[in-house]
Amino acid sequence: MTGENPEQVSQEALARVVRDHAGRLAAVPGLAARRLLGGGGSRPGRGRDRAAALAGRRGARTGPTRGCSPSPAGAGSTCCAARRTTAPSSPSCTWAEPVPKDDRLRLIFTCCHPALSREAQIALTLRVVCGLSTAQIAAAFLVPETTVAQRLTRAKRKITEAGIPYRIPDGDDLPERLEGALAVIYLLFNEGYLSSGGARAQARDLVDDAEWLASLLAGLMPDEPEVAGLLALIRLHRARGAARFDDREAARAAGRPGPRPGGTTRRSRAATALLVRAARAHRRPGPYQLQAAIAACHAEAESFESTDWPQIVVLYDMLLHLAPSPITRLHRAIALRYAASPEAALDELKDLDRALDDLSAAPRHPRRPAARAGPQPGGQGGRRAGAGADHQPRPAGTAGRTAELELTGSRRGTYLHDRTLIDVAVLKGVEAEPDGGGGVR
Amino acid sequence: MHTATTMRLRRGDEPVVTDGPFVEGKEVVTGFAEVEVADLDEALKMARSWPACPIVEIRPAS
Repeated sequence: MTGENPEQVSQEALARVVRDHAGRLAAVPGLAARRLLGGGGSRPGRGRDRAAALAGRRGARTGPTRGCSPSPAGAGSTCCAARRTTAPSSPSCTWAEPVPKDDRLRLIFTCCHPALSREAQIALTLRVVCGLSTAQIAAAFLVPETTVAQRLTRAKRKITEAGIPYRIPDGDDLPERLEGALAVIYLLFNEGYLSSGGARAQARDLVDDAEWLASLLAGLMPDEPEVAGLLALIRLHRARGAARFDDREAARAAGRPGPRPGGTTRRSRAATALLVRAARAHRRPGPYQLQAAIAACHAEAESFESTDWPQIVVLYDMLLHLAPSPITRLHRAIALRYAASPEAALDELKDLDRALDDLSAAPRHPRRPAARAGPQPGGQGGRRAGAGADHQPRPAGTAGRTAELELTGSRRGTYLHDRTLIDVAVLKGVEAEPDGGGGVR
Repeated sequence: MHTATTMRLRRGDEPVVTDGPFVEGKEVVTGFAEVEVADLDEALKMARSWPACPIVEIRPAS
């Protein structure tokens, strides 16, 4: 996106998104939101059909409005803009800065009303504005689908009964809604980044959208370092992603990041510079800046072994201070393994077992395979489970098990917990190799 | 499931609005008012201006 005319980018991006996602965006995002949020009195359940019908009629009548493309999808986006500004319950907003050209950014802020719980805000926005399915949202939150369905139902009920208006917030209200908006953009990126199979083009669009929304927001809110942090994080992941996925999983499993395509280094450096500027200018660290810094450490590394692991451990410490989570602790343990020793990491992991078990009921979490007996090919560089080589007899059961961390970065193995996007290591428990009678009897 | 919204005023800072009723039960209720408004935002704006009301819980009246 760098170096292009922002107007053109916004037109093209908006047109492409509407064209490709028109069906998924519940016909018209503005109308869907209004239906759910109770403005204008549409009856639930009929809104979708009415929206579709209106889209057709209005599109034919009014023609393209400012900011919308004249393509067939333009009919949908025209209706969105036209309908929204004539809605009786939404007065024209007063924004401190120039009005964002992207309606969806505005809608995201609108849906993140503080009278809704944070999870409800995010689930609702992802559903209504970004068009994610319940299953996709469930995967993002690492909760079952039924939980998400309940959250959405409760959110809609609260909106109707408590009278939460569908109104675009004033400039003063934006900062309190920023956290929710950032989370939405982040989860949108994550969904596009992770989704596999089928709609590869759709996934790329989600990722493009997320990056574009983040950059738009960064331009609008230059005093918020977390916005720059999120943008840097997204760009760093995208730059690294090209090197990590596809057929490079084998290289990754062997502990090397694999060859980096040309241009990714330049992009990584630009994103890192953006992060450093924002961090220095404001000196207000936050979760997105910290995660971006960790991603930057990985991006800068010449090789897996030469990664600045001690710095990464410190960054994870800070992140845990701000946003404690078992997955963050897991990743800190992995970094500790390389910064310090496998034993130190294993100590950390002892406490984590139960917390991680709670998460494994959620979709997308890999089930940790049960301990396997027998020889296990070594993880990094052919080394075997640490203490297994000393031939000492082991007591039966869990106490005797030695876990070897085997880092397998894979697209499916990437998780989101709360607001943290981290590569998850697949934790495999292996029986210590029963050398010469030292095994379990 | 609740339909209440709580607003906490902070000295010199923006008030914090959260989902749900005010649950710290040991506090004393110091007042009650029924108002007619178009939507929740209006009620929140109104409550912001009430003197000596650091915590306000807003519920929809049937």
